[in-house]
Amino acid sequence: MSLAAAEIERNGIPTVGQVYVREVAEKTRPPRALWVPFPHGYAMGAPNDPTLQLSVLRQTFALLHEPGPPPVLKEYVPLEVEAGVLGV
Amino acid sequence: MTTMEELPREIKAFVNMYAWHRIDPVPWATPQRPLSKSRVGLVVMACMTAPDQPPFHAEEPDFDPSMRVVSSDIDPRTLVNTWPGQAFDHAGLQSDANLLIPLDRLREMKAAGEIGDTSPRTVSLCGHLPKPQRFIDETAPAIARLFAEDGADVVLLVPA
Repeated sequence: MSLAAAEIERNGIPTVGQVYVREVAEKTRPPRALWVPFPHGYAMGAPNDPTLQLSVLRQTFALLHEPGPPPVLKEYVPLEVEAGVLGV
Repeated sequence: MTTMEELPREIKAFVNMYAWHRIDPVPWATPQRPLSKSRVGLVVMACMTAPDQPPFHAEEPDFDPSMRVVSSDIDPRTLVNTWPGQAFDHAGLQSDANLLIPLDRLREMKAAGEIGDTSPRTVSLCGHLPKPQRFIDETAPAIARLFAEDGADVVLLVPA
């Protein structure tokens, strides 16, 4: 992920993505990554769970608001916590 | 959260042994428009191909640094999984392709006005690349050119 992301960013297009293992992200340093608490093969969380998958995507895209400096690495906030924070 | 200590022993050994390529310095492009007006490109990394495309050959010794380009209008369920072995659990992907190719979710975000559009072409890769030089020299620049040509404002990369 990091190699492709870096080349895309060098060409002026911002990138976002997920990582499964924090230590790997710290070694490879993608520009903006969401550290997700899911096993490999489950980047969007769980099959047939659009609510969870949309939550992962929204938090991933929210990295675009981070001011930097890169690399930006944030933890995924679970849905129930997210709902509490947002008061919904 | 998955940390090194929580990984299965064989995966932990792999993570420790793997020659990870460190990005330094880390490039940083800033968004030029709100997400609701942005065209979103997608890169997926599970060795998926369209049915009429040749499979990836991501085995030792050379692995596969190439890419496949598929229409973003495709039904993700029709893509073929050519990832060799069981480096990740394929059961979820078999049950719901959106786990690793979230095209349906992106379409829903477009319909809801959360993103502007999807970029017309999606890029498929094999995420396991112990020998990345050809990818760095050839494939990565081609990916960047593709998204520039398609007018992508942001690119989402989904790991396997």
